[in-house]
Amino acid sequence: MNTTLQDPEPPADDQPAAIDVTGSHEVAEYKHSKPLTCCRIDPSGRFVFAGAEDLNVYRWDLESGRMMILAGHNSWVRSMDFSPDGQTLYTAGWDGELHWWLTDDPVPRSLRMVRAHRGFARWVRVSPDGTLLATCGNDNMIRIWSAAAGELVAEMAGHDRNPYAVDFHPDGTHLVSEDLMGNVKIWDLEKFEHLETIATVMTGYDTKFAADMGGARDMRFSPDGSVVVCAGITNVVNSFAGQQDPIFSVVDWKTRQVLRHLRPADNSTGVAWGVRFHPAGLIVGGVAKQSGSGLVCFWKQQEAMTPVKLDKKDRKDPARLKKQADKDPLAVKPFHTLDVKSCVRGLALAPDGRRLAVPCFDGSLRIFQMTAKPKEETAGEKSAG
Amino acid sequence: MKRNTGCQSIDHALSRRHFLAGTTAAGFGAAAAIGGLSSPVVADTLKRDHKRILQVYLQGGVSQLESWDPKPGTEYGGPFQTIPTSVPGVHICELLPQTAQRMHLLSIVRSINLKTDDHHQGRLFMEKGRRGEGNYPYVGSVAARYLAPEESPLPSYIHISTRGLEDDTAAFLDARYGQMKLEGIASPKNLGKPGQIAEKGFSRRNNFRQQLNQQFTSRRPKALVDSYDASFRQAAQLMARQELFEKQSEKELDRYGRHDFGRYCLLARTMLEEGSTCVKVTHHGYDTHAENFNFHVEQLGEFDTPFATLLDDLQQRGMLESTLVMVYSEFGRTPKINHRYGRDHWGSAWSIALGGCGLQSGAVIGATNDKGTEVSDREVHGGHLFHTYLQALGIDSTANHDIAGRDIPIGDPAVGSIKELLA
Repeated sequence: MNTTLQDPEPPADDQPAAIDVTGSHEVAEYKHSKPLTCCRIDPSGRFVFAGAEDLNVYRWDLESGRMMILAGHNSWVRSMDFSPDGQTLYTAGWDGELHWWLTDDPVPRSLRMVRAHRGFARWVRVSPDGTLLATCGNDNMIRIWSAAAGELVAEMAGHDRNPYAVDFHPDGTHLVSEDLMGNVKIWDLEKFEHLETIATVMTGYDTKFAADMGGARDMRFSPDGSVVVCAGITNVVNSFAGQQDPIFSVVDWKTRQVLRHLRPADNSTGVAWGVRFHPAGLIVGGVAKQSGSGLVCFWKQQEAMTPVKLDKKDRKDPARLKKQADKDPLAVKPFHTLDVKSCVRGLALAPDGRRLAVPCFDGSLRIFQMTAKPKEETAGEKSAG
Repeated sequence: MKRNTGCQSIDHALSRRHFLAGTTAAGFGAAAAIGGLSSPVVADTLKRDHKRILQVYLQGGVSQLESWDPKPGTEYGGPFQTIPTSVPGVHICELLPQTAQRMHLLSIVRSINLKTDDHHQGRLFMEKGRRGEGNYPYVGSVAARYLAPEESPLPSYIHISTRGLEDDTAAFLDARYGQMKLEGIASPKNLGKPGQIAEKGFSRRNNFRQQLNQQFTSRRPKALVDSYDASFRQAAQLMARQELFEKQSEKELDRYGRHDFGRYCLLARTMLEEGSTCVKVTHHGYDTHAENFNFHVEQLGEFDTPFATLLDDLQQRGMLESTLVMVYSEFGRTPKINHRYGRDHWGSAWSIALGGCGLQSGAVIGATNDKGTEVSDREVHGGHLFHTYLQALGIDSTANHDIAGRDIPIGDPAVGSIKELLA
């Protein structure tokens, strides 16, 4: 089924084509020599930034394709965020460092660095008003920093295992975090204290290898704050071979319950590395398949947020739920899936809602246009075929 | 023609031995006479003089780049950084901060090339010092054969692990030198005598067994019966030392950690103190084809403190000089990082750490190239290491086993020890 979705703001006649994710097609590819680890498009839509399996962050100008290097970290960067005005980029690295950069600096240089965590600094998010930064790391701490001065505002302990990601509620009063054991914790940002823990199926203990695997590989509140979606894994069969299922857990903010599990259509094994809310009422998820290729999945937000009636025991203890995708009563399948040649390591949406950036294992940063393919291009392809 | 006395394969002897480890009370008694050493002075001397091995086996293949041979900032270096150690100029991965502070007690061999990426073959090569499936004893069994006191107060070769890896460790050596596997810190099943049997009856049973043995031996090869008898005696030793498996000290667990590996290391210390000649502790979970970095954070995070604590305790008890410490795997991991953030099997250029009895400390033997893809200096393999282990323990690895009049070289005659590593 070819689903054309309404634009968030219907375009005038001279504006670009309507968003049609089923027509998504690759329009650009930026190559790097090392596998990429994450990416973000700045709020102006001018630049796309990507982390890589080296010590740098890379910035491409989406118009000219010109690439600049942001050197300063001593390890891989897997998380970055922007100030609301888009002028400042914050990057968190597996060196434990948090760096400040000017987004459009002609010669990018780190403006400030704080040692945010012992071991990896796994995640950074900017508060909705732009005044605070939240980070989490391998010292099991959540730390809150002033965005203006880089000073430590608060630190919150409570995770027994490594927290992997954090996100601010859009009202700015709460923070959520998720750890290796799939525990989603809610924190009060007035008192900087832990309020509640929500268990998810996003973890697994591999008895053969005697090790845990899990945790959020991305985490996003919906713009209205009604749900938070956590991307990661479940149903660990052989974690050391990467045999587990990608999953996107939709957690209802009001009831503190897991509403639904977004799953790939083909029940492929792998890891969910990225999630975004598209303004056209969609949830977009990026998956690295165990086999080495990737997927970008599109779910309708309404469907992803429709509760399923479960018996009380299952509702109370999500660990009881069947973790296999084909038996999961909470599963929601995407209405459209985009195949990507290489493992997808994250996602970024352009502010216009038309472009999607996908960082890949093969070192390519792929840009997809989420509109129908122009007719001449389609015709050309057909004649060439 | 020799009379066929039935299958005498060593596998059967070992099977019986494993059975005994699990069912020690099955049919004997008279264990009380074997126990601790009577005089503290004599005991201390014996403890010091008794050479032993502590093997810490990181099963699955720990990544050399995330442990002993880090190369941060290079093409395949991964995300971790190095930290300085207690040996000036020697750096190891940041995931081993406690071990780094004890590096002056250890040495690193950074130039191992096994030429195999197979778990089983790699393990055999590292344990037997010979490539392939040849029926040779493991280093732990060789140590048990030549170092264990005649009246060893405990089984001479103990392996603490929770699963798998049933190996024929004694090969052509007597079955008594084979590995006795303990399933974690729990005492072997049926360690106590059956409740309904009184001590007197238990003792009579054992006497009867010995009488039958004597009759049996008169018509059959003596060595095999002796081997079974030795297994019974070792089981009896364990029966007499039930307290070794009782609750571990809370104070010690605070130091070692309350997870399985912490508890295993504490039990290993106890077993070494109480007279075992080789104690092997397996830490599972290093076969990281996916999530190599997260798993190494977890696994080495679990390894570091208990191992460092165990080193401290051996040193403080004056036992380190007489205990060869081996931290090893069956191979390392590929420099190249795969699409699952994993590293695959890599036997071509990897590292282990050694220390204690008979070895230089603070040394770094060999090197790999800048990318870690090849050995660039002083290439060695399992054969060299095997000679080195045994010579460090004072065993002439170039001599022969005398197996019923047949000479079998202890170490591979084609190679020798890493002489510069020996003290």
